[in-house]
Amino acid sequence: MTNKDTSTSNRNTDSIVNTIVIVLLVSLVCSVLVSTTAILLKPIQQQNQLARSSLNNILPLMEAMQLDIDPETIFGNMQVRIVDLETGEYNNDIDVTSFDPRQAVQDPALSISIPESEDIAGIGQRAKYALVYLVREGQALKYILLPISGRGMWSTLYGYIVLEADADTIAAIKLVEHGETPGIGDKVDDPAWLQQWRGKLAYENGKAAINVVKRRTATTSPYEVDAITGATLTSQGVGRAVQYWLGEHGFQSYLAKLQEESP
Amino acid sequence: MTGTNKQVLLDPLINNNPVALQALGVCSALAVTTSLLPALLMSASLISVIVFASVAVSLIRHHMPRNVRIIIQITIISSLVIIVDQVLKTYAYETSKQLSVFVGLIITNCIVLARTEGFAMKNTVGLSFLDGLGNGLGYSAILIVVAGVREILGAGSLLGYPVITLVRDGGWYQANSIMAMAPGGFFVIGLLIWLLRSKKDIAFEEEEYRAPVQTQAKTV
Repeated sequence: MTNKDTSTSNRNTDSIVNTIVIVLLVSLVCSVLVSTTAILLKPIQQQNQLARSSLNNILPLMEAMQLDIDPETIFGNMQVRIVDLETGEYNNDIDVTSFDPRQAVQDPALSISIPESEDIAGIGQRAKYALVYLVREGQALKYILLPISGRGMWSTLYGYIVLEADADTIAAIKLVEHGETPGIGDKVDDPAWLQQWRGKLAYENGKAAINVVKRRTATTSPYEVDAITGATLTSQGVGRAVQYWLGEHGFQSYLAKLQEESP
Repeated sequence: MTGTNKQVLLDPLINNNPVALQALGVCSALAVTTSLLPALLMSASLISVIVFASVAVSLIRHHMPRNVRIIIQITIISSLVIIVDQVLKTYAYETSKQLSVFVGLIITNCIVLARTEGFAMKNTVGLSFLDGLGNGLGYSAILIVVAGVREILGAGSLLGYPVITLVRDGGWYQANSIMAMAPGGFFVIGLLIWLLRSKKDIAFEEEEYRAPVQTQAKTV
């Protein structure tokens, strides 16, 4: 059936010299091919990433979160700003349309290292600036969309949390990207679980109190969301991400300033 | 195509199907077949990897040191899988997320290593190419059939386009949720394997021992 060619020069191929040479050659060729591919494709991947997280994708996200918005008029009523997380002030110099949050985290000029004691979400680095989305109804503020990220069980979780105009009540939360275990960790995408967050309160006595906890029975506290059975680590990862980003090293100073400005 | 070439290419499609008959690569066959599109992309990925890997291994087979040959084959396979994974992430991002880890798991997919070690190490580049292609197509055939069945029965659609109207859309068909889960995949693959084996009269185990027929009662 199949041709078998008689193997010759067995002695030769098994020599130490040949082994080392072949191993080195194969490794070299493979590394070159893989790195070349990665380098060639990276710009396209980054472009796609930017396009995905651009303004246009916020609308489907908001619809998925079942926010009370009118798709027809939303773009006229939405404001995208860049916030300096340290001061809580807007930064008007950076161009919102070209700001890439993922790249900013890795750029030493645009990011800071989070000391371990503060790094609740386990992300190591934090960009100095973040995009925030403000939705208004007429003149009045209606929703505040804040990007969050944090370490899940296996991957970094990326998502958005939406606060109502009082900057305390949670309107919605949703993850847009994660690499958690399909069928188990990805239960954090389950609308039923995400629904639990609706109406919960973020701050208690001036501190970010909202968190994901594992209790024997369903929690009744307005500052707690039940962890998902069988996906505790991943759901707690979401909790920690929210804790960090709504906390004093995240958006808390910005939200305080926002409350001072608009009634 | 010469007789041998044709045989090498077509054998793994039905007679020696890697999933149905060699029982290789079954886990990924279950995981990516909930709908047709991921199954198609997974098939394309596997075919690319197995073809290039077989060709590469066959090219260097005369120089391959025997004691590290498996490691070298895995290095080649891994590099190819990384490249394919990157290409998928760039040009088909949404579906690549649906495929999640399973493209990466092609590295451990028994079919690829079985062909590089079992065939490409001992055969010419041309034949190895055809063998890789044949096995890849055999795997894809199973994936496509299973995914097609599971998507139609489990979601009433094919490639996302509705084919049967579901009850929740006002139609008559109650979507079969077992089909959308792993056990459904098991059932479909099991039925396929049964079908293939009984139709083709292959892989019947020979009886090892047959008791001699007694024609006369033995008298004590």
